[in-house]
Amino acid sequence: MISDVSPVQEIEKESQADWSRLDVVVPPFSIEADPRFMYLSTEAKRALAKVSYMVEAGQGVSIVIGEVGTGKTTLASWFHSRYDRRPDFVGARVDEPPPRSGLLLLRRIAAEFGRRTRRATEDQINELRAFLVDQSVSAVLPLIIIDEAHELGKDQFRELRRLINFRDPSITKAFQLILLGRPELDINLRDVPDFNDRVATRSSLDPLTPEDTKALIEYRLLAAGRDSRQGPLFTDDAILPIWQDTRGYPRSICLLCLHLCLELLHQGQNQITGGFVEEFLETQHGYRRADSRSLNE
Amino acid sequence: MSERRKSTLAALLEKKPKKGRPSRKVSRKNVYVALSPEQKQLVADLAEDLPEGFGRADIPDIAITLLSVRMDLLRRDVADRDREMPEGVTDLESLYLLWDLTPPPAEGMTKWTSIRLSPQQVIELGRIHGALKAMFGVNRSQVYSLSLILFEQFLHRQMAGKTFGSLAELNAWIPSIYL
Repeated sequence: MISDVSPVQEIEKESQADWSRLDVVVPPFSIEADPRFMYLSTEAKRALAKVSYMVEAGQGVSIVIGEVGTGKTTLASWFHSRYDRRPDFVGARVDEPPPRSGLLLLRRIAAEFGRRTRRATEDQINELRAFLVDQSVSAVLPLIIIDEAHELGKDQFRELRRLINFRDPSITKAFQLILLGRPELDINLRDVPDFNDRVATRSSLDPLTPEDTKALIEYRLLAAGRDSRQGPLFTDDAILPIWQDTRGYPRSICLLCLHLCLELLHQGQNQITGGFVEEFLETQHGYRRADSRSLNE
Repeated sequence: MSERRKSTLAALLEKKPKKGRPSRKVSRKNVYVALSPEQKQLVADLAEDLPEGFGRADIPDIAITLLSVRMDLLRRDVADRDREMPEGVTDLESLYLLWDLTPPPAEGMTKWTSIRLSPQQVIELGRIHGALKAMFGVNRSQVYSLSLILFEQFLHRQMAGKTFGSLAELNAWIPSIYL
């Protein structure tokens, strides 16, 4: 029988009862994109500040570039959750753009805004423009967030450009757009100079430094309910081997730390030291393979 | 007899004008801030790069004017939203990053020192401090540090090669390039 539950979820479920032994309320190193656990590295903070400024100032298009596992989806969730709950914004989030077709992308955006979907591109564009005018009456600004934007095709960029170009005397600001994607996005944008010219800010999410790796681990434990006055669960000498093995990619760090915690619980110990990490990496070097199915990229 | 003493003092002051700080038409106010040795050195370095006619004593006024203008600009850009600060500016470090400035080290040895500000700049500093304290819990020294770093960027990017007749002229020019 094939289970729909990912291996990580299975492992977490099996060990659920034991998490309290680490003095946390919820598993601290889930690899799901959860804004509650978002650690703000300097790069992430810079991206948040610049993109949110551009969005609120109505500057148009903002781009966030990052390799796999650097936290783009978490950032997209953060933007969507923060802006969608504000009375002066309405958000539409497209997790993965439909392949190539401009119409399909517009239909997806319209559906996210709760508008009618149309069969013709012009009708769909007009529907979305009417939506923008409607919203501007009540001073609400529509924001479109597209994750995995490196998959956007030329036609889709063209339709997006037409959408953000729309100006009407009755509106003060046009659609705001945040694109998040892998570095290929930057390359793809060179093929669409009309759209590229409208990019107001570009931010990049780089892998973390060892200091940021330590801060991420501490932040996650704190967010999961561990009391900061307790002794450290990960000792200082454990950070470097974790950083070296994961090359500073946040998702990889979380995955390794999840397995380290499970191993700790299994062995009945109470602290993860440098020796513990090195021994784990030597004996369980295939830990990542078992979980590869659960990674969405 | 007391009148005589007063006139003597006045005469002494006339003969020996106060050295150091330049005389001002409007007296300046002392404001106390904690600065690190690096920040004091930065002020000294900036003073050397100032345009002709300006001295070290002018730096606090210009820095606060500059910060005030940048904060007004930020507020204006998000004014028709519901807030004073963009959603993603979550702390003081975010402001540094938004303006492409390098945040200062988190902890360091600081020493209380007085800066002298014109009355208007004292009000501006108080206003900015009040807003940032309410949002991010920062103190006056941190606000002044931000203004210094902002001024460093401004001095090298915008002021280079420019000449100004007076401090008032410079203070009037700053809003014109941003607002």
